[in-house]
Amino acid sequence: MLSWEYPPRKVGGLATHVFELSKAIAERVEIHIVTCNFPGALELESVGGAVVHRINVYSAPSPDFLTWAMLMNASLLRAGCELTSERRFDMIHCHDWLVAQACVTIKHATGIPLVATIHSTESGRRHGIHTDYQRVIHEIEGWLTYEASRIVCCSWSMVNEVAGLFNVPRDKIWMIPNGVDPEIYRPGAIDRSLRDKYADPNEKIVLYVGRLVPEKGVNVLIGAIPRILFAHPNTKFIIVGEGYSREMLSSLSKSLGVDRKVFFTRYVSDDEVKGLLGLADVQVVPSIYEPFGIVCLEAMASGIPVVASDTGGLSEIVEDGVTGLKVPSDNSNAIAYAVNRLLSDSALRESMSKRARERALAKFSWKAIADLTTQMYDSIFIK
Amino acid sequence: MLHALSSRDGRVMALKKVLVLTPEYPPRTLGNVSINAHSVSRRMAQDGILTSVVTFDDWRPGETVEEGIRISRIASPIRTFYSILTWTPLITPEFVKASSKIIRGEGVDLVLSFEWTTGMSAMTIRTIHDLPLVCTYHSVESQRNPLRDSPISQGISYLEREVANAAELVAVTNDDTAKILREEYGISATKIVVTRLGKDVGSLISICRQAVEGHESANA
Repeated sequence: MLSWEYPPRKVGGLATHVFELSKAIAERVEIHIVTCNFPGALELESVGGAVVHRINVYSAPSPDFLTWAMLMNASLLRAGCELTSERRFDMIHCHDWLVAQACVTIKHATGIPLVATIHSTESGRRHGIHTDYQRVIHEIEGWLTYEASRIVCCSWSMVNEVAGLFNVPRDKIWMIPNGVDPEIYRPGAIDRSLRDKYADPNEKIVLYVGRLVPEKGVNVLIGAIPRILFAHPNTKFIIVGEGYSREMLSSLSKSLGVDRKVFFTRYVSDDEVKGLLGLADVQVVPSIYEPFGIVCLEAMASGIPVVASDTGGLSEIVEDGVTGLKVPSDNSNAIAYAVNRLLSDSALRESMSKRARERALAKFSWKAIADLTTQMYDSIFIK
Repeated sequence: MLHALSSRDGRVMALKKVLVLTPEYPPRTLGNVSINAHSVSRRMAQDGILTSVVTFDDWRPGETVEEGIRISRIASPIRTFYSILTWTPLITPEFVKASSKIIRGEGVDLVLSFEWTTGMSAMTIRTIHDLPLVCTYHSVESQRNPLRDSPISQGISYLEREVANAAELVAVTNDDTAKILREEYGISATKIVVTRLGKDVGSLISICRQAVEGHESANA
């Protein structure tokens, strides 16, 4: 399995996905993960039965991320070749375009079949293809879907997107959702010291967790804040995450006069995110484009009612009015209305949080996902 | 004529099958690399060495036999050109695909790669198929580009160093290139051979034979 992200290197949901999936699969098959190095992390270790190889990748300045990704592939390719020449593998599993070059090269060199998980598409992330930079990534994604024997998408929305964009036969695509570990994400006692760090005792907390990039729609959430504060002045908005839009979002909150009520945590540890999930009254997932939305699932498993955009994978995770509230994407008024509704009605919050956790546990366990993934692997060898 | 030689234990070994990887080959000629790759391939074929060439040529993809040389011309799977440092890795899988087909079909004794652009392919084939590799450099990035510390140049130098490190022998055209490989890239002087690529074809073939012999001895 090749992935550029693996804990402790976490940029988006990909690292968590590969970490949990590999642990779940390792109970049935021998699995090796080839990934990028990270300061302080071991070069070789066993994690839940999966063998993790962290490779020293190209670290000199690059003109841009795409170029760096190609040089990173050179390092992963060399490591992958050495590994495949030492032991026999039955399958290469590629996660996203970032490692496609190394995966396809190993496939052709060794004849080992290739499976690819497409976690999102460049066209979806950028609302279309507008530059040569984006076009190259788009073409790499299409090429990967052609070279792979099976494609995995994490929601039906992504199945439709990938099939439509790259003209992939439907019977080549498997829909296997992301999962959540109910032992890690569960309702817990409130950490008072953590709460005091972020909010006054009488304030309610509205939480956002995710990258600060345009497709996540954090600007839409900030646009809703004045209306929420009008109805619920004692509310604090905690924005967890990092990204190139942070300064723009900070300016937006200042220009709307709500900056004293918005706290940008920047990057925080996993434990602190879990602690924040225990404090939140509502989590908002305002994405404009969202292939799956693992943060929504983690909130649901933690027993937090969610307000989520009715888009992509979020539409499939959230049962509107039962496990959370769905709102049209890119609509601040709708977010404000839904958040105000939840903040005003503690009985509704309580019933939704209970059902949200029940649904997360019933539909999105890593064991079920590992079952599907190994079935998908087997399907390649069954003629 | 067969280029035969004796190994240290007296076994007679021969360079019978060579795989040449080159970014250009006639009629696609941008510079001397094409001419030199053609000269050495033709000479090897004339000498009875089964010679296969894998090269890039977007306009003429396919397989042909020309002058007794089997030639696979590949095209990039990615049609948009963004930069040389994205183009090169993205043609690598096609180089490897065509090369692996030849290796699995006829077998190969040695890989001879021209310039850094075929280096990732050559390193992959060397590792997976356990073949000796000779790489050639007509020049290196710091000789070509005055902006040697630019991010693009640093990336190219990184790939040049990786390939030279992986190769059994590195053939270069002049002492300046050899010096840069030794002093800046940290390549062992024992691996570097200065030869007039394109002019002294016989010398390059001898270098290839040395690499095969070294590989055989190491594996014996």
